[in-house]
Order: sequence, then C-alpha cells, then structure tokens
Amino acid sequence: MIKVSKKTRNDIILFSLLLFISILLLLLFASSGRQGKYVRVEVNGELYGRYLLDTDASIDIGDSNRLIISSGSVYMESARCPDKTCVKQGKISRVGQSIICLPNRVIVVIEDDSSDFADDIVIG
Amino acid sequence: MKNGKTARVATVGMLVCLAFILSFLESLLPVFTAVPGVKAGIANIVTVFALYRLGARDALFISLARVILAGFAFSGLFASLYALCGALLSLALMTFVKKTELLGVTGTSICGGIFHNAGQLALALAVTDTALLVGYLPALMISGLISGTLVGILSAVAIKRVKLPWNLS
Repeated sequence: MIKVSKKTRNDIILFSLLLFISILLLLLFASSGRQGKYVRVEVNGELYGRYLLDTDASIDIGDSNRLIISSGSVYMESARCPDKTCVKQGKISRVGQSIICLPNRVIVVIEDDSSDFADDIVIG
Repeated sequence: MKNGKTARVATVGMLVCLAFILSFLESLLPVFTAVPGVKAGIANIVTVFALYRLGARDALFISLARVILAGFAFSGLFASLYALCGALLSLALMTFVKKTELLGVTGTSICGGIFHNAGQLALALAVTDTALLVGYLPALMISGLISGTLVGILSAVAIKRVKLPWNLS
C-alpha cells in the first residue's frame, strides 16, 4: 500500500467530497429542464418586458443590448460592453436558464406558464 | 539578517511581476466563457507560493498588486472588482486553512479556488440583486475545484523545489 501523509489524505478526501457535492448540485439544477414559454427581461432588477418564446422577435434593451428570439430559443446578439460574456453564453430555451450581462445589469430569464421562478426574484 | 528586508522587498517585487505575467498569459488563453468567471487561475500559483514561503502578509500584497495591475492592463475596472472580491476571500480562507494544518498545499489551494469563485458570485449577487445567479453555483464550484487542484499541485512543486538565493525566515 502506498504510504501517504495525513495532509495528503485529507486533501484527497476534500477533493472527492467537493466533487461529489458539485456533481450533485449540477444534476439538481439540470433536472429542471422544461421548454419555457416566456422570456423575461430585467434591467437594474426591474422588469423590462415579458415576451412569448414561440414568437420570433428582435428586442433592443435600452441601447446597450440586442436580444433575439428565434425558433423557440433566445440569445443575445450584441452587447455594448467589453467582455461580451452575455453574447458568448449562447442560446437558452429551458425554464430557469438565464443570460446575464453584468456590466449593463441586464438579466434574461426563461419562464414557464406558472413562472414559479418569478416568486424567487428579489426586486430591490 | 542585515539584508533580510531588502531581500524580502526584492522577492515580493519579483513575485508581483511573475503573477502579472501569468495574468497576462491567462488573458490570452481562449478559455470557454459560457459561464462568466471561469478561469484557469494560473496566477494564483504565485499567491499560494507566497503564502507558504513568505507568509500571509506578503501574499496579500502580491495578490492585491496583481489584481490592480491586471485590472488596469487587461481585464478592465469592472472585472477587476470581481477579481478583487474573489482574491481577498480566497486568500483569507487559505490563510485560515493553512493555520489549521489539516490540509496540504493542494487542499488549501482547492479551498482558495472555490472561495475565489464564491466571492465573485457573492459580489455579482449583491450587484444584480437577483437570486437567479445561484444557477451558476455548480459550474463555478466545479471550475474552482479543478483549477484549485491544478494550481495546488503546481504550487506544491514550486514550494518544494524553488530555491531562493537568500534566506527569508
């Protein structure tokens, strides 16, 4: 048997434990994958608009972001910010998925009919 | 003993420079950014090295200097605020974990990696005021775990093998 120090053993235990927890969390979050019905757009924590996901549209959010709804999914086409993280996030379509543009404080969320997510949003 | 302070200043300066270069390399890496905040974190090797070889105070200085320099040079003020929050939280936890003497270098670095991401997420939660960001938690946790492990293994090698031409203790 390979001899490992107590610290190394603890490291391995920590790694395995955290890996287990994160996979568990990942499964938990991924399991709620239903096709959404609405697209909810928030700016500065306030509701900007709610759009039907099955109707193609192009939405300008202020003059900073352009959102495209196309064949049942949503993506950020362009953004006026240096990192373009929201554009890189790609298409979303399932309930609870979101695109977030931190510099412009824009949040795009997919919602269901019942929109059980709306209750969890803290509007400040 | 006479040269202790000068040697320390020189070492810290060199490490700030090294961390800065690693940050630059990292900014060139085309990491997949489907999730904001996911990064390789190779510059943290220097932080972990400094924490073990020089102590928490110098590690804090090096970490702060790197974040500020990198913020001005590549990532922008906004991103560097997040980096700052992550770096401070991460270093605070690593200092604590190191004190407990329960974990090795890799374990300490894993804690640091995860809390680096946790700090950024916490600031993002505070800025955007929305609970939805919690959805990023699993992805950020895994990325922190992986990068923390890699950084830890590399740092452990560096801590063991790098010989400084002067004695700092």
